[in-house]
Amino acid sequence: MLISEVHVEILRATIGFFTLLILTRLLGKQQVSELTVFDYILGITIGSTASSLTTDLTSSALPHWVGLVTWVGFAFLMQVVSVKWRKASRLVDGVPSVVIMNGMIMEDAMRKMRYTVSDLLEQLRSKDVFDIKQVEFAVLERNGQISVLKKSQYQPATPKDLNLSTGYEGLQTVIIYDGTVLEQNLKHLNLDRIWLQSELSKHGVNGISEVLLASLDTQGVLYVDKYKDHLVKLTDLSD
Amino acid sequence: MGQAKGNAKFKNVSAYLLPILILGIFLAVMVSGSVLKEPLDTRHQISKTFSEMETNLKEKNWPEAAANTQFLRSSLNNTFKILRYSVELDEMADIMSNLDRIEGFIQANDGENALGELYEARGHWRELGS
Repeated sequence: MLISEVHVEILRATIGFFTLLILTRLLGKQQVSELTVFDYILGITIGSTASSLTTDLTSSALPHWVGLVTWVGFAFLMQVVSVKWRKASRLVDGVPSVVIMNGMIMEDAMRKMRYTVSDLLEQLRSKDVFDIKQVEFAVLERNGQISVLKKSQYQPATPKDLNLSTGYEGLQTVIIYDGTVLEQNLKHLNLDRIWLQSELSKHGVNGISEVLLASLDTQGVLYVDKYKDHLVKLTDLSD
Repeated sequence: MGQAKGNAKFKNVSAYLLPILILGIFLAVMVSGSVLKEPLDTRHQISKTFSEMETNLKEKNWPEAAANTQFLRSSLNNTFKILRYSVELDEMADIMSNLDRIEGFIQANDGENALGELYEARGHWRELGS
């Protein structure tokens, strides 16, 4: 009986794993940091159902699988409803709450959310704000994170404030990753291997296999990181 | 340009079709138990043997009833090899336990208890995969 159970477990684990993979792709790319409390609990429930699909051999796989698909289906439905109807989104996901307005703490709003002054101070510190006087607005977001707008006199100066001219930054394009040339990216930049070889030789690189990462920025400057860093002494951060 | 467009279209279609196909295969595996149970029952004469055993137990034909148990055990083992991926393993184990007890009751010439176990085993078989 034991051997047959192993076969069944493997098959059911395969079903659970790939079903979960496909269904979570359906749910999109919401980051863990963006999850609301409900999303978090939803994730745990879906994971737990997938787990019992694999290990609970006292019942057949189908009811667990149907439960899994139904939960993900509802989560997907809630996402669609939230995107299409703003009012529904407010009901499902809640709304952000202003906890500091014009430098004043909003006690009533905080009490409604069972959010204490200690919580507020702690989250402000995590945003590098140690003096509450510096805060113009603070908003408690739906995921429990706090967003802070400092008073203008405490905000860092930008190049614009200093009337400095700046150039276009854009995104870097990776050309070599882990010793392999990403031909598609090279072609997209209208460059070839001859150009790459000559640029690498300027960085003292003889072969592509010596390179961990090479990327080109919009100014045409190539960044190269080799496997061998030739550092004399490494900085040790351990205690 | 046309080929690139075609490739992109194929990628788009396969991005939807492949997951649907995989989920469809999973579903087919999971419902296969209830679909295959009846043909397997007919092929391995499981329900028929249950009925034969019932008659033999009622008429106290102990050697025939014991032979029915052996036949049923072998038939169920063959059937379970196919059904085990989609049905409850507990139900399968329960049927085998019932057969063990039936064998014991037949040895003791205890028709009443053997019949009770037989009815329970048949109930488990009926519930399997449903």
